[in-house]
Amino acid sequence: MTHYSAVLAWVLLHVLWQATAIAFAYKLLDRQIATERAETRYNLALMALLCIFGVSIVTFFYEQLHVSSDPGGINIIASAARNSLLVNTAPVASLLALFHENSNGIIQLVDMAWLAGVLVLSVRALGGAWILSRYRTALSYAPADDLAQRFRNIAQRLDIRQRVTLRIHAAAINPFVIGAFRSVVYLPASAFTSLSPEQIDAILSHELAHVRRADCLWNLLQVAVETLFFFHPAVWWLSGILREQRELCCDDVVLNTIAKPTTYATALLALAENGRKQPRLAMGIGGSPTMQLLPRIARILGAPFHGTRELRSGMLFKLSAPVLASIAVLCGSAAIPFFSRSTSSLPQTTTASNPPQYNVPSQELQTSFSETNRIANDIARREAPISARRQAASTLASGFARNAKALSEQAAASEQQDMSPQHHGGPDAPVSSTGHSDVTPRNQAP
Amino acid sequence: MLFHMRRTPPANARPTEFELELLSLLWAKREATVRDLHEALNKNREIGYTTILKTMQIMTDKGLVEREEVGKAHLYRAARSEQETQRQFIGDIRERLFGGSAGRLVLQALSGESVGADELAQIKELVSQKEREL
Repeated sequence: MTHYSAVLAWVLLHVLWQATAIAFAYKLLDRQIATERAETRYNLALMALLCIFGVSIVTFFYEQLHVSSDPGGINIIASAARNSLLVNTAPVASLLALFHENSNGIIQLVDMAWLAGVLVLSVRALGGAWILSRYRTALSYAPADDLAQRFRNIAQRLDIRQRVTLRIHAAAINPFVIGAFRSVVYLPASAFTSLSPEQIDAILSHELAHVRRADCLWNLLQVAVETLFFFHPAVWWLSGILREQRELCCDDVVLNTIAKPTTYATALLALAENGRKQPRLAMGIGGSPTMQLLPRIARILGAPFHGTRELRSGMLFKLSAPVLASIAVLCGSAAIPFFSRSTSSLPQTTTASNPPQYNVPSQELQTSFSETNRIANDIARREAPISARRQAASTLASGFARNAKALSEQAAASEQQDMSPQHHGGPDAPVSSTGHSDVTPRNQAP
Repeated sequence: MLFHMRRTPPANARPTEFELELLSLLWAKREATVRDLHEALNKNREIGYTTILKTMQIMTDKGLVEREEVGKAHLYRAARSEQETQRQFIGDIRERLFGGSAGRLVLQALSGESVGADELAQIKELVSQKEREL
């Protein structure tokens, strides 16, 4: 589990700079095609958003491989332990241990914060879907026959294959459409008193254009991406652009089907005026801010307009903050290459770090050291979980202890040979039984 | 002094589809007689006068509409406003909590935010300008 939590933390970190890069790339490209049709600009924005999603998936797999195949932690422990035979590096060891402790904590923090955010947004989205379903079914009724027929005609003219129905909503102000697979278009009852039949047809064409472009489905995807990447302002920015361009695309579809643009423009105007009359908005269902009406109507009537979500200076700042933060963390972690990948914690190396410095370990001991190393690495490679790594580390530590004990035995034995052939008792051989290789032999009175 | 005890509608009186249609007409017109409703509805389809009359009587009993006798005709008014009816189904707190996110899930012809008065005036100017050109 801790393996995946580290992977997640790294993916989230990389998203910070990736999304910013993609957002800037989008902005550059968009400037080139600023005068193209809304369709093109919509597709570009959609591609950018999908790229952010796709790149993070790729990052996930990359990190997964990278983190699991690097037993860097064990290597560092081993080399630190080896170094400690020659030089007392306890302070360095404790510093490394400190960093390890913190990196675990940081990973946990990042993961928890992200999960909390996703949870909150998901609850909100589900709650919105729930009140939406009540709002729809409780307050709507079937349209009159001739209106239903006109609706079917428009759907046919726009070449819509899927099932779509029309309902009249008693309390809504604005027409809306909902449903990814079985779409329902809702027309407010107040529309009949303020719109002529041609204007109603234009509005219905707009909603049916959404259905034909499968906008409801894409919208769900958008909401999912917004939920997963809520922490990056570039995602919200791109999402807003996407929504805006989507409306412009549907406006274009309407303009292709009606004779006079003024019909559609006046229809929107009448709906806006209706909206003003209501003291309170219908359910706040228009919660997502979109572009202003004036430029949009101007565009319908022929004036050039391409959207308002320009990259303002405030947005630039918001985008640079996450990228600077991520660069800082990446640089910091690059300076200490192995530690940021590993999730293991350092064992206590101090117990085995004070062997006698005047003894060169014998050949057998050196073999035994590397043997212990190898075993520990094998364990680490075979099993990633932290418990196995700890086990490997403790194997290493106890291996050192045994080796140190053997070392002191050897020292004692060689000393014994140097000294006069005094016989020491078998059972109480002058070897300290602790891991500390304190090799002063017990002097026995001859 | 006469105290009019306004009969509060029962909390769970839900209108049927047809009743909802009549209610929305009443919300648009503020008050109407059966004859007005008959005229309005018959623009789109054929509905008998007596059908409407019966439904209005049922709705009065249900508490969805109020009836006032003005001379010979009966004038009907909706008992609750649109917002109240809406709130009945949704609940104020839930609306406030989730209304915004509900907005993200639907596709609308217009954004829900109300348009400013001067912006409306500008739009009207633009439209009349365009109409004069054609």
